[in-house]
Order: sequence, then C-alpha cells, then structure tokens
Amino acid sequence: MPLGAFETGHARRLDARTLAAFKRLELLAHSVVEGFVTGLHTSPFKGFAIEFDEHRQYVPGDDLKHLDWKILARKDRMYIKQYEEDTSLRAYFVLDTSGSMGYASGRYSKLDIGRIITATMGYLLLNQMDAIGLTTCAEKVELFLPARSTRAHYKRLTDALAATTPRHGTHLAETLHQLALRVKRRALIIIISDLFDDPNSISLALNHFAHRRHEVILFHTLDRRELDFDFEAPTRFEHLEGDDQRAVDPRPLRKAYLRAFEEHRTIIRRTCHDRRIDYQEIVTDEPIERRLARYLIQRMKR
Amino acid sequence: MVFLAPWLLLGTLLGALPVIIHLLNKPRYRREEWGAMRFLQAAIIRRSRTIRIQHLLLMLLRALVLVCFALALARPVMRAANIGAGGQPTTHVLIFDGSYSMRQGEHRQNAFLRAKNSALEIIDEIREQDNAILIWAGNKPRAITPRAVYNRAELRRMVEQLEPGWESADIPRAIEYSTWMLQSSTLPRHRITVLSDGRHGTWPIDDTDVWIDMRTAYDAHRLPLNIYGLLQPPERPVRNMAVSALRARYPLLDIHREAPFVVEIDNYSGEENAAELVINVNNEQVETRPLTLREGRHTETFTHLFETAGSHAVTVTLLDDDLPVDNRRTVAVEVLERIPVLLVEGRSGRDPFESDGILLSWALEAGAGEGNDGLFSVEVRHAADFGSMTAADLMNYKCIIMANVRSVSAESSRILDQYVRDGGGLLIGLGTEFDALAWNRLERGREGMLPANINERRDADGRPWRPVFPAGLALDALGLFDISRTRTLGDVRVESHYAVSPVEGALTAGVVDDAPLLLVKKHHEGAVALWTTSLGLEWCNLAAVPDYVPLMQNLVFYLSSSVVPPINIQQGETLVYSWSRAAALDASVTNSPAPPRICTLTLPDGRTEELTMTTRMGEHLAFWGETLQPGVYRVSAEGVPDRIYAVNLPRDAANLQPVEITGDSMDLEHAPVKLTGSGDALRQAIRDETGVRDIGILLALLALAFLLGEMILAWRTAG
Repeated sequence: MPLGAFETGHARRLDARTLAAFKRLELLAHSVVEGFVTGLHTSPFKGFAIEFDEHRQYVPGDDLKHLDWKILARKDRMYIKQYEEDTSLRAYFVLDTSGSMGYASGRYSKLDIGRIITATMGYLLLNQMDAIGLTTCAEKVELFLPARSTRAHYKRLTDALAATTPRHGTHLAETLHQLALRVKRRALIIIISDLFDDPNSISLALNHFAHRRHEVILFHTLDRRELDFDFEAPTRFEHLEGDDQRAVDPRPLRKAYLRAFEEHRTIIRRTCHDRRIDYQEIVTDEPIERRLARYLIQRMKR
Repeated sequence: MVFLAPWLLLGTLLGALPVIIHLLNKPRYRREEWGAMRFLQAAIIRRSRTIRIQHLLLMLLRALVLVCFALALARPVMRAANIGAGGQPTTHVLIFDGSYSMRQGEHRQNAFLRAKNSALEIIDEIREQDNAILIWAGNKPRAITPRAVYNRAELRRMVEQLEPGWESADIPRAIEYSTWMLQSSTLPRHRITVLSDGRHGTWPIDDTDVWIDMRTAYDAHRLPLNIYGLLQPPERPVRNMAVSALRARYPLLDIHREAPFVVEIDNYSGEENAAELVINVNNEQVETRPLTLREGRHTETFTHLFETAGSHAVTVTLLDDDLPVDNRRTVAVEVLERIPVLLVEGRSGRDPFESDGILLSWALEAGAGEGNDGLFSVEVRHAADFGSMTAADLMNYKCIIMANVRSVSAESSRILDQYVRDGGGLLIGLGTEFDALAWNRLERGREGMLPANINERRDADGRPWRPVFPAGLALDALGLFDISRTRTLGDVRVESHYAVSPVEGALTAGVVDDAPLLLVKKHHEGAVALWTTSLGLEWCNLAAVPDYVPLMQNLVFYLSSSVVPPINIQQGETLVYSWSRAAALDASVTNSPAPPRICTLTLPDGRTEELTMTTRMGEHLAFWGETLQPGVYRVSAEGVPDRIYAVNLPRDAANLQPVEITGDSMDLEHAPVKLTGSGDALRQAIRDETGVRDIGILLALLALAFLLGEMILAWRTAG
C-alpha cells in the first residue's frame, strides 16, 4: 500500500477518508516490514534475560554447559539447570499527540510519521511474538494500551492510532514519569515526539527510564520548516497548543530561532548519549520507509 | 553652505518618506499555525530590542540616503572655512560689455542676453552681507548703480532692464573705472567680473600698455586683483562684414561739382564673401553695387551731385551678414550753393597795382557767368571798415581774407580769434602796409592764432625767388595741385617776403627762398593761413599767372571748409544745434527771422523729442546728449531748413573674431585678468580663489555610503 494513502497534506485533523486509510495501518506496516526487513536472519530486538526454572538429574546427552557445577562440587551430584527462556519482549510505544505534532509544512505531519513508526515497528515486534503496548499523551496520558502479543491487540492498536488527533499542549516529561512508574518489568520504550517541552525536564524523565533499566528508543520527529525556519514574508504565527499569537518579520529572527532550536536539540542529544538512549531524528520530508529500514538494519548490526 | 539650485532642496522632504511609509504601511501577515512556538518566543525575547534598533537604523539610513541625494542635487557649495577669506563680505563688480557686437545672435539668444543671465546667476549667489556695483563698459565707462547696492531684488531689476549697447567697449578703461567705484564700498573684499562676448575688438589682449595702465590704477588704490572675464561668444563661426567708414573726400560740398565719397568696408569673416552695397541719399536709393569682398579692408568710392544746397544725409548699407547693426553708416553733409567770403584790403582802388584785393576777388569769382553765380560770393571791404564789424557780422562769412591790412584793434582781434575758434577760416596776406609788430600780438605760440611770428621783410634784390610746394605738405589746401610730388611754380617771381618763425603746430605748405611762403595752423574749429608775401602784384607776380586762380580758390575753399559745423558726431557726444548757423547758412533765409523757442529732434528710430532753445553768446542753441543710437538725427525748427546730424558706430567693435581661451580659464598676459568661457568655469575659478568647494559630489558619495550601509544592514536584518 502506498504511503500516499495517508497523505494529510497541511491539515492536521484527520478526516473520515484518512481515518479509513489508517485502518489499514496493518497493511502499511506489513508492506514496510516485508519490503525492507524480510530476509534478516536475526531480530533487531532481543529479550533482556533467561530466567531459571528448576534442576533435574543429568542424563547422558545433556549439554555439559548447563551442568550446575556448584551442586556437583557440594553434593557430588550431577544436576542440570533448566531455564525458562523469556522470549516475549514487552515494547511500549509512547506517541506524543500534542497540538504541535499536527504541524505539517509538507505532505506529512509529525503525528503521521509517528503513527507510521508505531504501526511498522509494532508489526515487526508482533511478528517476533513480542508484546506491544501503546501510550498516547499530550498534557497527560490520553490512552494506555498494555502490552499484548496477539493479532487482535495489534488491530486495537492500529485503530487507536488512526483515532488519535493532535490536540492540547505538551507535558511530555510528566507523562514519561508516569509511564516509567507504570511499567514494572523491563521493557523497550519507544518514544515518538517532537519534544517541544522543557529539555531539562525531558532529560530527567529519560533518566527515570534508564534508572528502571528500560531500554529507550527516542524518535525525535521534526518538520523541515521547524528546522530551517525559512519564512520570508511577515507572518502571524498561531500556536497549535494554545491561543498565543506572534505577528513578526521572521527574517531577522531566524538566527536566534535556530540557535534556540539547536540548544534544545543539543541538550536532548547529550542526554540520550549519556544514558545510552537510541536517539533518532526523523524529519517529515524524508521517505519514512527508507529511514526506518536504515535504522533497523543499523540496530541489527550492533 | 550655499545652494546653487536651492529649489531642489524641496527634495529633502523625501527624507520623511521612509517614516511616512513606515507609519502608513501595515504589513500583511501570512497566517501560520505553528508548533515550535517556544523557540520563536525565545528568539523574539533575544532579538526584539536589536530588531527595533535595526529597524530604526534602517529607517534613518533610508531617510539619509534620500536627503543626501536631494542635497547633492541642490548643488551645495561651502566656503572653505567660513573661516577664511572666502567668508568675508565681498563687493561684486559686474561690468557689462556695451559694445554693439553683443547684439549678435537671435534676439532671445544674443550675447547680451547670455551676459545678463550670467549676471543674474552671480547676483543669486550674492550673500546678505555682500553688495554689488554694476558698470556699463561703453565708449566711456559709466555706473549703472550710483553706489554699491545690497538689495538683490533691486540689482536683478536693474540687470533685467538693461538693453544691448550701440557703442564700442573700452574694457580696460571700464575695469580701471571700477577702482573709483569701489571707493564707495567699505567691504574688505571685492571681485570684478566682466561679462562680454570676448571679441578681439573689445579685448585688446595684445595691447600691453592698456593693461599696464589698468594695473597701475589698481596698484594706486592698493586693491587686490580679483578680475574675471566671462567671455561667451556665439558657438558657430561668424560671418561679419562692416561698413567701417564713410566720408566725403572734401569737407565742403557744393552744388556745382560732383561730391566724391569714400567707403571703407571690412570683411572679418576670414573668407571671401559676396555682398551688395546700397547707397542712399536722403533715404532715396541712388545706386546699388554688387561686391566680392576678400578678407580684410576694401575701399569703394562713389560720387554724387547734390541738386540743392542744405543739409543732406548719405547712407551706405551692406546687405546680408550675421551682425546687421554694423552694416550701415551715414554721413551728414552740408552742401553749399555759395561760399560767402569777406575780403578786407589794406589799400583799395580800381587799379590792380593799387588795390590789395581786387585781383584776389576776381580770382575767387572766376568761373561765374550768366545764370551762374559761381562758388564764392566775395564781399570786399576796406580795412578801416573792419573795426566796426561785430561777431554776428563775421558769422555770415565762411572765410575772411586780410590782404595787406596794417593792423586790427584789440576788440577786432578778439572777435577774429573767436571767429576762427568757432570754425571760421582766416587768410592773412602781407604787403607794404603790413605792421608785423601789431600782428604779432596775435601770436602767442601754440595758444595764439598766428602760425608764425613775423620777423623782418626780405627783398630778392633782383634775384626773385620761385615758390615751391613740397610734396605731401600742401595737403588738401592745395588739392588742385598734384601733391604727390614737389611742385615748383617756375613762372612766378617773388621779389619780397617776410621772414617768419613758425610756431609749434604750424604746417609749412609752401616755401620760397628756403623760407616759409605758406603756413597753415588749425586753431580750434577753424584754421589760419599765413601768406608771407603779397596776395596781389605788389611783391610777386603770382596773381598774373594762370595757377593763381586754382591756388587761391583751393586755399580759400580749404579754409572755408573748417566752418562746417560738427554734424557727424561721435557716439555719446552732445548734439549741438545752432539755429543761428542754420539761418546763416541758408541763403533763402533773409531778414533774420525771430528764433523759435523749441525745435523738434527726430531720432533714428523715428521717435521725436522737443528741444528747448537757449541763447548763449548770441547764438540760439539746443542740446541733445543721448546720441548712442547710430543713424540720422534730424532737427526741425521754424523758419529754417532741417539740419541733419549723423551718428555712426565705432569701427573697432565690428571684428567679431573671439579671443581664444585655452582650457577652462586663462590668465591674460600682462594683465591680472582671468578669462573664462563659461559660467561654470567662472564659478569654479571664483571657488578656487575664495576657497569655495562644491560638496555635491561628497554628499552624493555619502548618500551612496548610506545606501550601502542600508543594504548591508537590511541583509543582516533579513538573516
């Protein structure tokens, strides 16, 4: 299915047609995965540990590497350790649905890109029999779907994605803190956001995940125009997350804007680097399927 | 700072344009829903103050660009240091070339109009603390402004009322005259500007003496030399020919002989030109003569027989060239029917050997026949009767002959002296009755009337002398003789004569025994001839030979000619009309009518003026001083025929070849005059002298710098 089916143009509200298209997110994810990830012999995502189950008597033919040498030394009996391998990875997608995610200077809004990333990677994880969950948030947690590994759950997840609309302001840091407390077991946390919140607060929230030994992947979605700020004519900027308006000549502000923007990104990148968080910057005008494929391949090679 | 085009200062109002545009122009904002507002707000907080300052600076720069360009276009000049000499109050002396060559060109573009415009431009630059003096350079310089004038409006009005002149212009003398006029100004600086068409005729740049004289006058007044000549000749080559002289060959014309005239024509064109000469007598065309004129001077002659006596005007006109005003010249002539002569003899009688005047009267009346009275009308009186004659009586004669008169009384001497001073002719012949001591009282050297002091009688003692008339010296007095060579009257025997000592100014026109025989001296308007032997047969046999008649007729004719009143007058000289003479010269006027109280003067342009008659020394006179306009001035008075006076242009202003100026300005050699060919060059020269600098270019560069700054700032502001 071509990505153009989800084209929303400059509009940030999904209309009925688009919603219908998003109901086929599964197909989209399938297309992306099959097109670029098929043929990979190992998963890009691995479980975190192998949990001990019980001992049993050694019988010839057992692999000696599983022999419990401590018992053999203490009791002079040969026992084999039996493990219960945890093959079910729990992955939680955190999708920012604040108003700013609806900004689109080109064909896709940041939220569109977030939906695609969620659907695609969710499909991939599900194919690995991993459990996937979804949290959408703006000023607070809007939706929380616990991690499941069933097809029906994936269907609910994509339906929920299709139903999301960009609105409200951003309190991403607070939301991440809440989520960190809510996910007890170690999990893969995939955050998709433009991170238009206080960068220091976001850093603290990311630290919170790291502290609880979650692996975090951060997809920082940005619009090309937000990066370049290449406005020429006097422009009245209306905030997507409130009533704030600023009528300005953007040209003399460009440098200062870019500097502020870069400072923000630098803090985020430094935090991610320090906490070994996988930071990926996604710009909306890049072909998302290629971008994802490239990322997954890189990750697999690690 | 002064602006040469101040009206362009209105352009500085454009400086308000950026502010007005800023105030009126509400930018139309594009609407953009925006997510990354936190970064925009941060940028606004960081940059708002800087942007406001930049916007103000941009607006200021844009206003400055427009203001500076407007100021530059207004041609600002700054006096280098309002500071130095340039800032001192200055008297501007403007000298207008009044020569008629300034009339050359189309009426609206002639040289005089250009000079006036240049003067108005200079007046516009005069500051409040400056004043100006206007001088007219004509034959004689004269002040247009009686004193230094501060009021620019008054100066403008005076300049605008000026009309081109009819004279020649003596530029060096006008500059010299300005030194006197400058005495009326107390300002510390002065500057003299001569506004001229720069003709060779009026700018004698090669005549060192006149400029040295001028400089001497300046030095005498200890004035600094700030003299500029603005010479603006027409741009195209000049084709000019001029009738530079017209005269009757003889000063006295009569109705009995063809009167010869001489015309001189100058061709200044530098090439051969065809022309046509038209001759008019009393406004009637009598001859048309086609001419081919090479460069230089040409002489033409023509004759005319006047049918009536009286005052006549002969005019020659040359057709077709660039300066018509100098193509016409008029000569006024007095044509006589008869010349009245008074012959006073010492001895009277019917025998030619006993009468001193009878042979001479016969000689003068020779040629008269039936129906023809001849040229001379001779009245013979005895010496004893002469003492009772008054000055008015003598005015009836054009020449008086004193033949062997013993002496004259003191009163008669005075009357006779006045008669000659007024233009009468006097011929004195000697003889046995003659008292040299008595007559010598009239000899007072140069001041006296006699051409020589009469010494003692000399006798030939049987070896009579032959009279010789040296070549060239006989002049017009002996016009009948061939004066190109020495003429000896071989048949004539002179037995006795008086030795004389010629006074200064006397001309020896004939000799005998290596001593003067005939001496002639001009005495004011008249002339006196001294014949050192007898006019009759007493001491010589001249009266018995055929040459006697033409010699005496010519001599008396010559002396009578002096009586011609000044009817061809120089420009600017006063026209003096003598009703008494008009009546005396006209044979038809008898019984001395009562003189009128007024007479009418008709000017060359047809206007008429009524002149009031006044009586001076027994003569009834009228005066008219405004004789600058060339042409015929006719005076009409009751009881006498009209009299004609002629005024002609001076010949030296007809050469229209311009003085060539090398470069923008040229210092005149031998003279402290800087010549320029254009108003701009003049202004530049004045600025160089006064330290005045044109800062228009600087302002234009400043405007460009502001423009560059604006572009850079706008680029930086735009990010």
